[in-house]
Amino acid sequence: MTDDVLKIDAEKTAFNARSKASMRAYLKSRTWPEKIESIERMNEAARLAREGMRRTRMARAENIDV
Amino acid sequence: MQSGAIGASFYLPAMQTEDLDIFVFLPASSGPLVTLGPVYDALKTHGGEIEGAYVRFGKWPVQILTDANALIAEAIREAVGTDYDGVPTRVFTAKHLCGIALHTGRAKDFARVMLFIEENEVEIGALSALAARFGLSDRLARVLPSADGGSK
Repeated sequence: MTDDVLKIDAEKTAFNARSKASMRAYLKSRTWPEKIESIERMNEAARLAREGMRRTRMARAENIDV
Repeated sequence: MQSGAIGASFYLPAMQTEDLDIFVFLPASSGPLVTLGPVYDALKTHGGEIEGAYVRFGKWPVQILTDANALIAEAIREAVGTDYDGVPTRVFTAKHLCGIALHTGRAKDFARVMLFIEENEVEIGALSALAARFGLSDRLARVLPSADGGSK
């Protein structure tokens, strides 16, 4: 492990923290119906993402370009 | 009576609302402020609407994050190609997602790593090697199964 591996860019880290805080504030501001819709969209997105990864793994196993 | 995730959500923010993270490489910062202006401009041409520090596509808020440390930079470089509903995309490897979760280090991040391990979605040897390179071995040890079947 070198110092370079542990190097952290303070300004980029601060930017990421601002971005995450902004997202948290947005999520907390949602009404309950909006949160439920959001969770439903997230569940559907997760299903599509897993399907995509399953296809990718199958293609790799068969050595097919995707 | 509500319990489980919905019960908890009466007290805590819902944990699985939309939360899409997009990581980008930026030149090393030389000034006091990091700007994603060119990135935001590009996203706007694809229909993104800038709201605060995130970008909205339809109903999806998208969080733009940067390569703030070497672990994230490696995760971006080694992201794997896959598809989302037929659209080509790239996603961090399982070991990098686990490494970043260990680095973040909140309880829910440790729980996510445990889930990856329990579901055999991450190769322990590869994750251990990554953890050793990035000084995360102690954190990984907290979630690795012990010989008696539980976590340490």
